[in-house]
Amino acid sequence: MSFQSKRTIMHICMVVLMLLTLVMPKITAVSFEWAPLDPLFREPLADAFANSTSFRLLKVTDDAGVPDTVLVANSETNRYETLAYDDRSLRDYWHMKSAVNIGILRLSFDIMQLEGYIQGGLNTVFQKEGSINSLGFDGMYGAGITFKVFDTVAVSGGFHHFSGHWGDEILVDLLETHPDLDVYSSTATRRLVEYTRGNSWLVGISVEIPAPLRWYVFAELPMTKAWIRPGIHVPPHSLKPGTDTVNQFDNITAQEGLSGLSGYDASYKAWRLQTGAEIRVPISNIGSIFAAGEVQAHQDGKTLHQVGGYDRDNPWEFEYTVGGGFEFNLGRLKRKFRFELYYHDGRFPLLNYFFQRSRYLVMGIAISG
Amino acid sequence: MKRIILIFCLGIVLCASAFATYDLFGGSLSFSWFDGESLYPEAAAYPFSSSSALHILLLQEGQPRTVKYGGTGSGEYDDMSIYHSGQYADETMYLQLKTGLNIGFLRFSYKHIAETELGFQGSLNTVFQGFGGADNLGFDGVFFFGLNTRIFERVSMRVGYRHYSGHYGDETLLKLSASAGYPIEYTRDNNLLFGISVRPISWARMYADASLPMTNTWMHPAIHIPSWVIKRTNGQPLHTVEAGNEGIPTTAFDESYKAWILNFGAEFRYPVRKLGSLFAGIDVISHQDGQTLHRSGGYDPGNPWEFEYTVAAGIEFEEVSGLGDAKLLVQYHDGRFPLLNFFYHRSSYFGVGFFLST
Repeated sequence: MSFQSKRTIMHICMVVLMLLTLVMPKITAVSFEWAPLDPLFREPLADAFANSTSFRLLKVTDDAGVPDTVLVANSETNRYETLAYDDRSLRDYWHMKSAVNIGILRLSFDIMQLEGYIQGGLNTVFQKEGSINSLGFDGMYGAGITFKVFDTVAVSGGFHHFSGHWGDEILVDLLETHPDLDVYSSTATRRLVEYTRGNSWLVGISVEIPAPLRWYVFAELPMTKAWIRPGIHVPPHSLKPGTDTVNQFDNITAQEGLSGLSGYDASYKAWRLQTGAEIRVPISNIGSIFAAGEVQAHQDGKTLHQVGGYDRDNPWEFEYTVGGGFEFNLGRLKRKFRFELYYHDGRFPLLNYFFQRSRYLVMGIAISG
Repeated sequence: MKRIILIFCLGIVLCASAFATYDLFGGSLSFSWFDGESLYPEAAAYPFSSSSALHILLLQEGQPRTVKYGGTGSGEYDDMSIYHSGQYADETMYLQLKTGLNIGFLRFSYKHIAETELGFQGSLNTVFQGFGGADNLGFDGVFFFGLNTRIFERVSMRVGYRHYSGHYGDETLLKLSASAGYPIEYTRDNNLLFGISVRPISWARMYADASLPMTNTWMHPAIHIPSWVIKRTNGQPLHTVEAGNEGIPTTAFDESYKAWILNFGAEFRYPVRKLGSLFAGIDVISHQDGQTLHRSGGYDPGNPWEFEYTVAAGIEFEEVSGLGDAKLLVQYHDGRFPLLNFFYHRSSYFGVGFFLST
């Protein structure tokens, strides 16, 4: 560890010590709670990948946003290309997600709370018509620590995992549509492209001032040694896990059958930034009407999701979600049940469809801590 | 679309104004719109329970190395190997991830003597290899929707629809993409489910479920479909239709064959102050479709049903009243591999994991 790093850590420790000194007189008791089911850092309402459980009807608003292709890397053309697996231009889908975000152990010191959390879930989208084929499944999980003070400001830090998977039924459809397609054998010239962030650092802050308004920010950065897909999203400094020298950009693009590519400039780190606001208006003791809006910014959008597409002057890719609903406060186990309706302009809500911009309405029920 | 949005908004307004927790008739009857803890508790040792789990499996026997294919032209289901010969044959670690919930709606309660609600359970289940590229073997969707009733806070009963739907993992399927035919799947869309749970004393619970395919339903694989099940869209016998699709001969099932699934077990808790409870559970599943031996021509009414056994023990952390909360469990399972599409793989494993149920 460098001298500069040690000095920074010392400064942080001193600040923490000063803060503790300031609040010590207010500390009257310390209590422990095992496995609390209501996290100190609540999940964002408007985030499609929040660790909440939901069952929703999703309606794509225009044909351009219909997810009916998969992305493959073609080693002959050295390009990414889309292959269609469905020609019905289906607009309606079922979006299902089953996820939890809970504390493992919570320490409470009067006005302060400290909690180790664990979160994770599975996310899937099915076609609403025909054989109700699955478009894909996503896995996401993470763990870390949340510090909350005055029941108002929460700061969390930990790791986060994203892993996209194609649906088995659309893969069968794809192979029926393209009978000669070979995406696996040693002689295959096309490889399915997937979205993976295994793993990233994730930090967040949530502030509820003035109540009932809540504002939050997340920043997610892939670890230096991480599995990142697709290859063209991999930052230049990234290394293959378990090695100290194997460049991950070279490794993953080679796995995809691409060749002759060069990494990006040092400013590209595949950041994902997310911010949003929520407001709840209580209705008697029944629950609350809420409204929520969120913006996400993906630095990997600078790649245009295409080989050779990266330019440092390209804009980040943005996603927008806005909506609202009604949240009941009658749940035991401190969970909240809500009806919700959102409009989204951004990526289709399956990780492997990161290349598919969609505008959609989504409505249904959701439960979260 | 406008109509759907309008109905949605109206639903919110009506629910908000009409559904709160009401005490009626002087407090003897109460009503609540939603409860995060169902009247019918989930069984902790049941492999497909609607709970959340982070579960490490250490296989003792029965590594899943093949996928059954139909429509290959052989007139039989053919086993396609996922791996090159001998590859990963010594590996034993797998990771099961599951997220689920078990909740109740529209609950009426008479002095907590008799309670009833609309119950909903749902979960997504997946298993990854703990080796190689951590490839995904499959995903399952399981849900229940029906009526839950509880009497004297001791006896719970349920009746409703149970759905099972297996999906292969993309990374597993791609290894087989050059194979002729297609992988067969496990689907029950839907079964009728009847269940009873009895807690005669505070520390012990016993339960039993029985599920039976509906007459008009989707089922896979063809070899499991009783002869009386009808295809929804055209009224044809589903077994004949699907046997044709899967390229196997039809089977003349005995009338006694109904593809029943019976599930029963018991749970025991010993309270530990400031921690929660020590927990032990046993679960047994019996599949009538095991009489088919999962192969063409394998059915014989004299064949035994297929049994699965799971025992679990660990700590249930103190959090809330009732039966649901967080558990740290060690399990032993002897039965099917815990993915629906791998119903034909008998496996035994030790598991250790963190479970969250309601």
